[in-house]
Amino acid sequence: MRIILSEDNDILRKSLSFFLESKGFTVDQFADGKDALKAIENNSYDLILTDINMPGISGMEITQHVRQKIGSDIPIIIFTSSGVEQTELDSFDIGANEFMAKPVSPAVLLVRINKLLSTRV
Amino acid sequence: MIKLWEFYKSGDWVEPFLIDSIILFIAASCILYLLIIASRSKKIKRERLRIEYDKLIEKLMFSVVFQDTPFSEIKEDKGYSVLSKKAFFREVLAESITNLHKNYEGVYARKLEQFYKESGLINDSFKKLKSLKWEVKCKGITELAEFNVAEAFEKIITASKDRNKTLKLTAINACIKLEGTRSIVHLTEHPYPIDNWTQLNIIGAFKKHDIGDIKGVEFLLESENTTVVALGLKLIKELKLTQKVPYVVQLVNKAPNTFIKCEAQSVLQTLTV
Repeated sequence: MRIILSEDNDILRKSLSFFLESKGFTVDQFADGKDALKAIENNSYDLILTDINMPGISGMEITQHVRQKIGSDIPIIIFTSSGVEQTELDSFDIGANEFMAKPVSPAVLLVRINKLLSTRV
Repeated sequence: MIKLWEFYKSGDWVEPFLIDSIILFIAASCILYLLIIASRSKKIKRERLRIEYDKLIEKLMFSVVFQDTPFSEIKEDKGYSVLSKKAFFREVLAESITNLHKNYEGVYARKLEQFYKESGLINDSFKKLKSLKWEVKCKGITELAEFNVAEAFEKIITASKDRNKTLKLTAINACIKLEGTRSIVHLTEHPYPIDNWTQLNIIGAFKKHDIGDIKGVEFLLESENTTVVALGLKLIKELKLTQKVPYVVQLVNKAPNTFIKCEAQSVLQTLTV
């Protein structure tokens, strides 16, 4: 399974990537939203994991682009440090499948990823 | 005086004065240039070291968090045992572990807390509290609060009475995270007005850390400092503490001024409707 991880916090991105790779996933990681979007357009992924606040393009814009321009139904998990209810509502509104507020538990994240991937197969 | 005037009029001083001025200017420029070069190269060296340290720190962190490597094993790592004695390495390590802890919760966060204590980083944070520089103190406070070191509460509360506003707010935020309302009860005897910005920060900290135990907020309403009373009312209103309504009713009856009375009535209206 190939996952794209878009997160600008270096240590969080690298640690999540390490964790997911140790669970058997192939992870492509990006610190910039624009680069992540380019990779999504040029490659085939099974799941998108993205932060909202990022340089280049935000996680919201990536989600919107994937759903409206590319027209893909690939599972998207958004995570953010914002605890604002409206952000969560907006995320689901534009087509995200899951929303996780930081701090995150990698174990819970893994369960959600597996759940989304199993429902898609 | 006359001699001095004659010396001035003779113009003999002009040439040596100009030469000395030029020498002084060139010397000062050279010194400043060298200082800038030294400062830049120090920063570049630190950045290089940071990149180098980051690689080792990431390796260590991931093995602690995801591979359950005990600290006794990490201590034996050659790279770690040498670098752990260097202050800058410990600084970068503390920054990384704090950053990761902010983003993780559950069992993974507990593992980081354990590493923070076993590696002695906790002692570095306590040392930072003794620094004369407020920004270093803030760093120490933030680290101790992030790792929920409740023993640091008494020391941090002392910092919350500091005159430096940033330090004060950082300390209050940390205290609220560690001990909830216990950290603000001392404000009842606060002699100076608490501005709106500080009040908003305090309320924000309560909301952010989702403090369940709100015992003692009512004491703020008994303060002689009206800004403290206003803070108490705002906390009751924002956190929707309906169990504190009787205290607000009491305040309406014996309000020290019209402003507090109106505020208290507004809180009552919000909570009882």
